[in-house]
Amino acid sequence: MSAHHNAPPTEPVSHGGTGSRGDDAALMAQVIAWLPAQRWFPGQAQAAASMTLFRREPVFETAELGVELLLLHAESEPSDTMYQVLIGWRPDVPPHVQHAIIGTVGNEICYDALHDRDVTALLLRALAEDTRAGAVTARHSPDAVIDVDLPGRVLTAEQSNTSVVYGDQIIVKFFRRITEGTNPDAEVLAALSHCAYIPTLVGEIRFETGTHASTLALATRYLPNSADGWAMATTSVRDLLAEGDLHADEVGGDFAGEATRLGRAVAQVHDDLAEAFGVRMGTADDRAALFGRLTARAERLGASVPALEPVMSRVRKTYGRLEPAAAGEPLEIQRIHGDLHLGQVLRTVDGWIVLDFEGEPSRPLAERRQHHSRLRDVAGMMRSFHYAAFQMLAAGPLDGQRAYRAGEWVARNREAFLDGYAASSGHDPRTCPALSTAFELDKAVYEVAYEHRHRPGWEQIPLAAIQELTEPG
Amino acid sequence: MTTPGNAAGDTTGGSAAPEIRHAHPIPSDPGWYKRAVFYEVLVRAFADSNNDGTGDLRGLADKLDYLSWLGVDCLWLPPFYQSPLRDGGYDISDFRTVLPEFGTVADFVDLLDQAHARGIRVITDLVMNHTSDQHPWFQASRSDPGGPFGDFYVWADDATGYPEARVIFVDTEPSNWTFDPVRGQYFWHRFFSHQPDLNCPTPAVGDAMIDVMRFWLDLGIDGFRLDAVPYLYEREGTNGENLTETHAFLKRCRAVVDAEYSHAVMLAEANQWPADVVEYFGDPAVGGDECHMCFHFPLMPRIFMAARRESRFPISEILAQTPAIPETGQWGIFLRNHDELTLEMVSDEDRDYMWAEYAKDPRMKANIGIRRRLAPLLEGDRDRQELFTALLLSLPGSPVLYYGDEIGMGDNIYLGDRDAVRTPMQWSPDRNAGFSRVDPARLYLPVIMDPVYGYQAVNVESQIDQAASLLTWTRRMLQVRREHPAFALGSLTDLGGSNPSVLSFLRVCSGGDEDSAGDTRSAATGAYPAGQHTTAPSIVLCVNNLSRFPQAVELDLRPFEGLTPVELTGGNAFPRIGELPYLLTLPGHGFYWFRLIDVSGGAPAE
Repeated sequence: MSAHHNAPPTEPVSHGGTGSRGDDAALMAQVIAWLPAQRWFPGQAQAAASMTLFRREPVFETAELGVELLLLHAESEPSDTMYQVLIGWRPDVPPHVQHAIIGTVGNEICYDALHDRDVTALLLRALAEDTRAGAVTARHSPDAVIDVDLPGRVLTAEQSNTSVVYGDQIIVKFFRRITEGTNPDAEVLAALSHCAYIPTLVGEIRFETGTHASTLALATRYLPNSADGWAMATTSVRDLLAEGDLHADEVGGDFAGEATRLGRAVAQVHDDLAEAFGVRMGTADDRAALFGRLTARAERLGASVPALEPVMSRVRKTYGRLEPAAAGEPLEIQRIHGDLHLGQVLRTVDGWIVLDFEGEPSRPLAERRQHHSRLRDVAGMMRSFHYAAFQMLAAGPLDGQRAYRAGEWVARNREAFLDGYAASSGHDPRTCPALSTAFELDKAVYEVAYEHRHRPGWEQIPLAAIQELTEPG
Repeated sequence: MTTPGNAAGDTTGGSAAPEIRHAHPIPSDPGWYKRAVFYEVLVRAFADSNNDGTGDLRGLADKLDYLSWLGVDCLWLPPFYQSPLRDGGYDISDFRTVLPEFGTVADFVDLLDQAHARGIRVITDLVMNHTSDQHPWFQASRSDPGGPFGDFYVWADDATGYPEARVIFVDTEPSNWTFDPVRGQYFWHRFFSHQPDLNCPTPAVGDAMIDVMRFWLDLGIDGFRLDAVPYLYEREGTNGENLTETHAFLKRCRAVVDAEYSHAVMLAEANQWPADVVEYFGDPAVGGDECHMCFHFPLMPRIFMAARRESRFPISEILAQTPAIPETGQWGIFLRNHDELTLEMVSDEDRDYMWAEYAKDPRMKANIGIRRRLAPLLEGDRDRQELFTALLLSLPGSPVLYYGDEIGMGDNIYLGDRDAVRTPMQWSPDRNAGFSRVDPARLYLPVIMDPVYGYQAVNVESQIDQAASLLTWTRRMLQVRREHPAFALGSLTDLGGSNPSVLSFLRVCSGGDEDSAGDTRSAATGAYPAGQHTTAPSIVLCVNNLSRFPQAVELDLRPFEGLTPVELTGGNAFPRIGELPYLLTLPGHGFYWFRLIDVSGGAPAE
């Protein structure tokens, strides 16, 4: 990280003109008023008001329109974190962009440029032609074929980013919140270009100065006709719970075949990650450090989340038992996905695809790229199976019969996933029960804290898992 | 000079026999088979005109008004030829004679004439791979090895040839070779040992089969379903399937059809993976020069599996793996037929469930499979029957209905798996379901009598005047399908969507819709009138809920922004397509058919 960003500039740095498009202050006033209504913006009006302009960079200028990149810095966030807005400028805004207007500054109207198909066409052309505009660089992958005439359309369903799909062939994800340094997703997709279970990288748009480099957008092959693993799994659970007395292996909506194939896909991705980024056998020190981290996180969350307090003695005792037990298990350390769950995998007509190698976006970038045991990813998926089954029960009163059947679904699909995983990689997570349990417990503890903040009604789901994973304290 | 076929096997005096009348053809309508709805009907099972307990050609002819009312375009008749009937008539002992209990060749010509007068075409089965061991060709071949039929069959001194060719009927046949004590040699058979394979490399065999083709085409039929085509030729060192020699022979047959009978269609039974089946359409560079149509076998079990899994992927996958076919080609698709496939793949968890199933011989699978009718397979659930029929009528290919499924007939599993789905058509609640006036004890098979599917509950008469019956619903759907050429001719785009339980696809063709709500085909010819097509493309959107639970789906229809979906059965306009994802909600097992039209300029309304 550059020194420059350890101490963010107090004065905005701008290349933007002040002519017909107003000065930076006038523009920022409009942007600050517009930000809180944007789905990808996590804060409220107060957070928006504290935004400062870090960079204002011209990107395109045509006869009809102009485009500028704004990088905004939030007072409350780390100095290497920025928000990205592509601003379009037109004297008159055509109807298809009306809904994206930010305001009028100077003599022109500014708007969220990703909603303008003329702008998305310019962006695709920039990728195809490896264009550089000021500090903004677009570059395509060596063997990517880009048809610049594909029409772009912006997707509206996303939470934290904004994506443009070009003719069902290419999707360009614009990160709204960007972090300085190597983007983990871009890094993995580039390194695993031969892997059949991840999206194919098409190109990248970066912001690069002498002192700063970050990924603004990532272009990959679009996966049409796909559904995420969460939707697939919950469809299966719904089918099981609607049956009166059939077991999980007897109902039509059985998910085990999919779970096995998913296990194979994840195992192959892990093998490819190990090959690309290396793998080493962890030492006793690594193991001690690992359990130190797990315990510390549990203690920290346990102190702040009331629902965790009654189970903390169980958690402590269990970690205490697992740590020596894990000494007999190989702790292989490698690059992993980092935030693997059913929502991160897509079922396509060709099979499963693993997405989003960004790690947990709230964590610092260096941490997200750190190497860990692949069992951590497997534990994430195990927890996700549990969630998929029990979220359907969260709304109603406790029903022993339904809970039993949900548990049956989890057990069947866990085993199916692990069968597929073991068959593909020769690495059966079930031979490392102590480490696997430790990672699942860590995840469950984190989930209780998460639900406490966001969905108190779901706290019971991870709490029940903690009961299962731990022994009386 | 007569061909060997005439000398030994022909009991009617040859194709030019003066006493045989020829049916009047339907006026030329190239590509008719791409738009046709086929209806498979067993002569034995449909209607008994002489009250001997067995359906016959005259009985079938008497029911043509019903089939015309229903709206089918082409009948497919499984073998009705002279046969000892040890393989459902596929064991033919005389290619040019009608089984006496079904009638005569003259009756058949009369049936053709009456069908053609209603705009209904007729195709029949052609079995070129084998004959019955009762066929005079085989009798001559075994008794006179040096005679004209000596090499009509595949003979060998030992049973070691073609070891890579699989035994298909594993439960009844220990080998593909059987010893014949008369000739003192082994003969080759891919199916039953009473069905010796013809030796296709013998030039006279190919000539004889083409003579058989000409015989029936001269009578006026509209094409053939070709049985078991992958097995026509054998070659040492191969598995005896899909050989180039087989393709060459099919090209020869097609050339005869194109030159002499250009109205006729060749429909192949090649129960293989779509990528292999495509070869049977022939060379795409010339628009296809083998079969006009091939059955798409894997689609049917995938539809069942998708509904069971409540997931579109079993169907989406097979559609994605189905290659393009030549210009003159069309798939034939079906839910059920007389020769049923197993559904055991539905419970198979493996990724490769279909590959594994179809790598084996499908006839073998049928041999150990389940043969049940659509209605009982779907537990009598009307919603699912409608959904499945809607899929059959809207997925790419010409649909083939199986007789009785339009009224939701049941089966009788106690008759054994072959006969379970071949019981008499249920016309009315009268004696013998209105099929025959004979003493019920003399029926070829008992009518279905159970309380749910029995003829007193399920029959044509009770449904034909009921606006809400399955029969009138089916008829209405056939009408709707006919009004929109995109169902038959359109390209396919699977729309995907975030909800895995909903299968949504577009069918688009450049022909344009017919603007009247009714059937505008000429009643006499079944042809579409020229010049009534608009220039706007015909865009049909089909949305199918494979789950038993209500579902919502958001579709990305932005390429059609500004168009209005109009539901096809009722004509109601839905909200216009805008920038946002298009939201639809469907009841459990519900489906929609829409056309997408521009209503802004006052242009075509329903």
